[in-house]
Amino acid sequence: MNALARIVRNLTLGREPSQADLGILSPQESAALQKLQACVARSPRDVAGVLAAIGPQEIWLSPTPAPKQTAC
Amino acid sequence: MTECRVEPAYGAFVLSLLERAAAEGGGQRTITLLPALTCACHGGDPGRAVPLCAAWLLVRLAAKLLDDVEDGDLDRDQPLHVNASTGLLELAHLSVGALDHEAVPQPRIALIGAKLSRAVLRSAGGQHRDLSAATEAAGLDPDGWLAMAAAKSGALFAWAAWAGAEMAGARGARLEGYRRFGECLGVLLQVADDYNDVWAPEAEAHLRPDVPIPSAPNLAMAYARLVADDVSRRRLDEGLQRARGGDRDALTAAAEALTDLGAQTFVLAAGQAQHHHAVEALSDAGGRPEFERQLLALLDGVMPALQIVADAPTALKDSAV
Repeated sequence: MNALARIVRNLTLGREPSQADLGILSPQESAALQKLQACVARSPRDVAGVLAAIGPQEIWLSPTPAPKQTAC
Repeated sequence: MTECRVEPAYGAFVLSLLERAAAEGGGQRTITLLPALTCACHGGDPGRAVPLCAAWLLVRLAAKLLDDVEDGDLDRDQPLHVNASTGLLELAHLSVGALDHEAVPQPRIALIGAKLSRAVLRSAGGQHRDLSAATEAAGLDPDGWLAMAAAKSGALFAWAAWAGAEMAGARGARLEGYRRFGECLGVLLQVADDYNDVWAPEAEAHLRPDVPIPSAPNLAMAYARLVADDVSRRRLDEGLQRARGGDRDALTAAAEALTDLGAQTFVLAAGQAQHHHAVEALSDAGGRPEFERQLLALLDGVMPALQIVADAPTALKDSAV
C-alpha cells in the first residue's frame, strides 16, 4: 500500500505518479484508483465536504457490551 | 457453565456480557451469522453452523473486552473483564466441540478448533504490533498497517468465513475464496474504524465520551508519516500531542491537515482495494447466488462512502465551488 499512498499524494499535488509506483500496484489497487478517479481529481477539501454529508462508516468491528469510561 | 461447575457469580457476569453482545442488531448481528452465511452459501444447512456462530461471537467479545482494557476504555472492573475474556475464549472452543451434536466428524471438529487457536494467536500478534507501534516515534507505514490489520482483525474474520464453508464441504480454491473474503472483510472494517476516528469521531460518541485521538497505527496517520515532508509531519505530531492533552481545536486542525495531505482519499482507496479483493475472493468461492448477495450486502454496508464516491462521481463533480 506504500506505492498507492505515494500515488495518491502525487495526484493530490497535481503531479504525475511515478512509473515505478504504478508498476507495483496490485490489480485491486489499480481498480480502486480507477473507481475513485472523480475523487482524486478533486481537491481534498471538496472531497471532505461531500463525505461529511455521508457521516460515519459502520462500527461493526466487535460487540461493545462493556461499560465505558464516564465523563468526570 | 453448569456442567463445568463454574462459580455462579462468574457465570452470571459472563452471561450478562454475552446477552448484551447478542442483543446487538443490524450489521453486528449479520456479522455474528457470518459462519452460517458461508455455510449456506456453499450449500450447507446454516442451522448446523449455530455452534460456529456462537464460537465466533464469543471470540469477538473476548477480543473486544481485552481491547477495551488495553486501550484504557473501562473505568472500572478491568480485572473482572480480563478474567471474563479468558472464560469466553474457552467457551468458544467448547462451542466448536459442540459441532459433535451436529454430526460433524471428529477430525473436522479438531481441524476447525486448531484453526481457531491459530487465528486467535495471529490476532494477538497483530494486537501486539498495534500496541507497540503506538509508542514508537516512527509508527507504521501503510504496508505495516495492512500487515497489522490483516493479523489483528483479518485472521479472526477469515476463520469465521472459512469455518462455515469448511463445514459445508468446501475444499481447495473455493474454500480459500471464503477464507480470503473473511480476511478482507475484517481489514475493511479496520479501515472504516480508522476513517471514523479521524473524520467521524461522533460515530462512537454514544460508546465513549472522549474523542478518540488518531495515533500512530491509524491508517491516515500511517499515510501521513510516509508522504508528508518533515515540517508537516512535525506540525501534525505536535497538533496530535496537544489534542491528547484535551485541545479540541488541535484535533480539528490535525484532521484538516490530514485531509489536505490527501489522507482521506487514500483511506478510501485502501478501502476500495480491500472491497475489490473481497468481491474477487467470493467469486472464486463460487457459492449460491442468493447467499452470495447477502455476503456482498454485508461487505457493501461497511463503508457506504465507497459506494457513494464510486457510483455517483457526479456528487463530487457537482460539489465544485
